[in-house]
Amino acid sequence: MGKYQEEDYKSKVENAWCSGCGNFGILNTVKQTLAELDIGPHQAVICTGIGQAPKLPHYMKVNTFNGLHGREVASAQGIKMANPELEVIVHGGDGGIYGEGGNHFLHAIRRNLNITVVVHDNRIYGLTKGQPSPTSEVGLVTGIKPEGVQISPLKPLKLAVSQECSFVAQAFSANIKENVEILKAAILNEGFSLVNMLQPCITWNKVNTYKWFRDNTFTVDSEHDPYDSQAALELLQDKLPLGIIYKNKKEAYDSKVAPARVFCSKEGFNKIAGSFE
Amino acid sequence: MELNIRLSGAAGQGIQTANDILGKLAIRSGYFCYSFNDAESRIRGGINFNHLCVSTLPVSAPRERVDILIALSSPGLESNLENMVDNGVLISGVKTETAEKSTFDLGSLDISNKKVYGTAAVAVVASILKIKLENLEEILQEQFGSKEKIINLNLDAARQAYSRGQDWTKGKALSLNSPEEPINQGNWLSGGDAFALGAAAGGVSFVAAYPMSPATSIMTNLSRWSKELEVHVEQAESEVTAINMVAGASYAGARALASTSGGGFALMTEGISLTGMIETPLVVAIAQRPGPATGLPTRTAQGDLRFAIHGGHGFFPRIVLAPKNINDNFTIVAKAFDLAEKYQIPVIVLTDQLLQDSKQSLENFDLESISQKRYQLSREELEKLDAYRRYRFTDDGISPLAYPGDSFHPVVVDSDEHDQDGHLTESAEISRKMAEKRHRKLKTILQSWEKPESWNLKPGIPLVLTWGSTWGVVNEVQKRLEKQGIEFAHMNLSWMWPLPADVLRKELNQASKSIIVGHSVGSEFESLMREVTLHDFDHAVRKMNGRPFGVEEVEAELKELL
Repeated sequence: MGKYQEEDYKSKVENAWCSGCGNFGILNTVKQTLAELDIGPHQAVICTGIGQAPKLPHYMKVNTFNGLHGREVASAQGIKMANPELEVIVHGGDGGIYGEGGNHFLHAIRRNLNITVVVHDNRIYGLTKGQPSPTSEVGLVTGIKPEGVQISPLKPLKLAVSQECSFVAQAFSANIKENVEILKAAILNEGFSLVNMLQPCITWNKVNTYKWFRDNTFTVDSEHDPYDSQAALELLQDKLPLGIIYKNKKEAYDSKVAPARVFCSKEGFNKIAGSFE
Repeated sequence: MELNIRLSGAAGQGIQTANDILGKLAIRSGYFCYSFNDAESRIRGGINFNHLCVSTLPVSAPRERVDILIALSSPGLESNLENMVDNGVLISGVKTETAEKSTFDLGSLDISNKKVYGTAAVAVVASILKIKLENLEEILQEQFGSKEKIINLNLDAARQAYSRGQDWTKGKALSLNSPEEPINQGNWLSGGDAFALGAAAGGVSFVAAYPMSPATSIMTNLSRWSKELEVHVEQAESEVTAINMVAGASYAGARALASTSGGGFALMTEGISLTGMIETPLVVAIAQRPGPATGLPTRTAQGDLRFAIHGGHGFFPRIVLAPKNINDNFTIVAKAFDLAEKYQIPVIVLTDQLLQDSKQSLENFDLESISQKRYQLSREELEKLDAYRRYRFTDDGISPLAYPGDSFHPVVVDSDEHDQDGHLTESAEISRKMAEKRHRKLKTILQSWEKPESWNLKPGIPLVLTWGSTWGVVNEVQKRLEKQGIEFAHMNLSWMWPLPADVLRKELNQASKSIIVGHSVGSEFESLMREVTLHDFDHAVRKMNGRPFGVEEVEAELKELL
């Protein structure tokens, strides 16, 4: 038994997710993962934006920075740089992280801080009621696209692999047991870790259902070498791979962030202030 | 008594370096110095100048008058000739046909590399000021000593020019009294330098910024001094990233700064509103330049006052400060960090291109005078609590502050309306109480408000009102006009928001006449003051072309209006 049990992350806040939402499974995964890694509610920060996925930290006991829509990756990096001892995990949706926050996402891969970003990818906008998202497939019929989505979806995992992202994995929300292992590996990875968490939206997305995801996913073979970028890209073809897809051994930026503190030494200040004579 | 030296040329010709060498030289010889610059938004070429005023009295503002013009390019020569006084001299690095002016031709020296023309010109000025050549050589050694070839070129140019200059200045009317007593202002630094030191004194530990003129020197300085000042500077990929990064850093316990100009602040407004909602302390620097849109990137303005006060959706308390001079860029910026944390609000410091880029002789900054208090609960205090409530309702609106990881209590903040624990809420009652809590801080903040600085303030005489850096020019004009028997009161606002109406209204209404002065196209300062005090101003003096007020023009305008 570790120091913490799932019970230690319990929240009294009333849950506002739709019953049957994939988010419930993800919430359980997060609690279980933190408990198994001995990371207490005060040692982790879950940083989120706006949407359904970003409500996650309210439904557990943990340090929470629930900031602006799409800006969660930017804030998470600020938190990590200010206090590298905190375990920083982002939970966002496909709209927030890949759409509104696309530029933050790109540059966070470059910056490679030791943070984990979990994208609840249900290929649709939930909270704003069913608009297409950056990952919606062509042809998906929605309220504002009765003729079906006409522009191609973003390929976030291919993008991350092409940018030599430190850690790239994909999971399916219903597979809690497997997902705990994936999330543990992501958190333990020293660098920017992306977990694309496939998830049905039972209310708005009538195409990418639980059954659809089961039929269209496969588990990454244990023989797969995650350090082989070509092999990783080959996995990312038609069917959706589940597991660790790509890893890149590169030094996390954390160690290069200059040591800082509030109120510098008098000697340091005087050295600079005295250099203008 | 003063001498105004204008160094003009193209970007990349070293006029900035020559200006700095001359400034240091004059300061070490006991003079007061002030310089401002006029630069185009380009890397090389164009017409730029640095204007240095060397004086036996303190100087706080730009001048139009030129006594010595150092011209390193023909356009630089032509564009500044009209500012030269009749007995002025020209030190020229280009061929000139301005026979009526007394000209020192740098081309007549045996100098093969024109890159040292700046140094040669400085040496000529040194000979005019009767400053010893050794003093100049010492500064050149400090500046270029590490590069043998470059220092030798500079020393050779300086010696030749100084020697020739001694003969050439004989019989010239141009001179400057020796300083009566050595001044206690031995530093030569810019507003951007002072701002960075002020931030350090205020405890800044994290900076995120995207480069933007004229704010860039803040991030550049803090970055190159990051080791000594123990601050991390992150160049963000956008201002949107910067503000959200800084909000995260502040939540995690840093004293955080984002620096930008008006356009960057436009991108930051959503994040400013976030910090208002989650009550995370934060300092944002806006170094103003003329807008709208890209405007004049390297020039000055005071057009973002309303934007700084109102930028961001929804109501939330904030403080807006505007330093009046380089010294205030230290003290007020340091204070901004204290206020931000004390009241858990964003504090916006409005500076401008003139203030950031101008330089002057200055005393040492007093670190001891800066508060080093922190406001969060200690681990011991936190661990005595059964539960920590980030937004506990309090009479003054200030909830106890804590940082994640400081104790076993999680810290929860939310951009949604939230309950006392930080969790999102839809409750009508909690929403009202939380909005009221934030609003109560507005009154609490005013406890830190100090009466605006004023000079010769008395009822029944005209009052000239300025804010921020426009203090400098009116400060000097007040002294000039006093000598001519024209008296007025001068009040300068450095604390721009929130404003207590009654005190200001009283002062304004007691004046025989009220005049407002600012670098602004519109009447935003005037309209703000009118909104707060209901006072109608009699006159406004405005300048709207990106160039700073010169003492001469404000003197003439005020003389007319008074």
